[in-house]
Amino acid sequence: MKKKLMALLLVMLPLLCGSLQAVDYEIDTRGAHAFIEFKIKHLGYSWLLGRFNRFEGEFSYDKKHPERNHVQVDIDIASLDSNHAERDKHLRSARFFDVKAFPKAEFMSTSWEDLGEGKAVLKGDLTLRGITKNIRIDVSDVGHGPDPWGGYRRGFEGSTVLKLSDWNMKEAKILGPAAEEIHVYLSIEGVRKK
Amino acid sequence: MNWKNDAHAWGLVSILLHWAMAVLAVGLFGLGKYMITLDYYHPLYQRIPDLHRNLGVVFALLLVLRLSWRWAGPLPEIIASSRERVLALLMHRLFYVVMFGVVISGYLISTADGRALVLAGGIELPALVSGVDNLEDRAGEVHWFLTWMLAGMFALHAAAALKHHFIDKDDTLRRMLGMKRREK
Repeated sequence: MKKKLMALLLVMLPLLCGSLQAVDYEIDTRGAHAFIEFKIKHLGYSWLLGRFNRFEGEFSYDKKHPERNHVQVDIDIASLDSNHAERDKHLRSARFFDVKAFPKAEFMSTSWEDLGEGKAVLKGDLTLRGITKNIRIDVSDVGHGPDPWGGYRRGFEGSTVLKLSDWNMKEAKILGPAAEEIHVYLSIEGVRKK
Repeated sequence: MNWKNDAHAWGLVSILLHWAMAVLAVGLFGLGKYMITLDYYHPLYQRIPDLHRNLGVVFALLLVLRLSWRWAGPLPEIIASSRERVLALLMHRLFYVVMFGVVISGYLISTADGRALVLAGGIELPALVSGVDNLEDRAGEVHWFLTWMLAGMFALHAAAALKHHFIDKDDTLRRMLGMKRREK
């Protein structure tokens, strides 16, 4: 019996180690050390900036096997903030995000391709307005290490360009040809789960 | 006709306020419904909402003036049975409540981000309430609901006026038009 148990443990050891290497992080939205920002051209003459103030998510990071990295984020679309109440109200309406019908957006990663030198390509399914599309996010390491309060943190930045028409924002075309694409910038800091 | 109301007739101030606000209310409702259909590149995309906001503030000022005037002077008696009188009083009071609600919610939509409401001539109405999550959306829903409610009350009010005029054949509508009382 004892031998069998030992053998079982020996077999399981690499598995255990494998799972130990993957570290789970919770995205620090409570302390607001994570940002989902966007910019879109106004008439083609300038950039309009905005962000989503409320979201939550987690990621798992495996140094040895980066292809196992996993990211999941839920975004509260009603928290859209472009620093102008009337515009925000307009963007939340059925003409654009249709927050009433689709209050949440979800991102679930499907792959992580390590490019070396702290760069990676993260792919995942983004569900927005009820439509799911696989998107590509270019990711860079920013840093990681212990924080002064007993935790351990890891941060990335990422960027992607999305087409409004891909998410069926029919009314988006009224913004004109210069505003068909939205540039998204992500700054994500995770706190290691205990 | 007197400036002031008396126990039987509306004075000129009340009559003018009543009709000016009736016209404004219809105009504001139409502008409001029209402006939300405008395309982003429509030349009036900014002007119509500006007009709506400016006229809305005029409406609010008239509303305050009207309520003060109503409280300051006598009111002509309601020509109706006692049951109808209660109904009429309730309706008139509800009108004031809803009109204030419409005006306040409209103001909150425009000032929810803490920016002043800028009117024609550069006059600024400061933002008093801001920093509330999604205030503009909630105020928008209230504004939408109350304006439709006001439209419904408007229709009932007009129907009641016509009923007084054509069925009861009394002076209710005539005196709001500043016409002489009917011979009895």
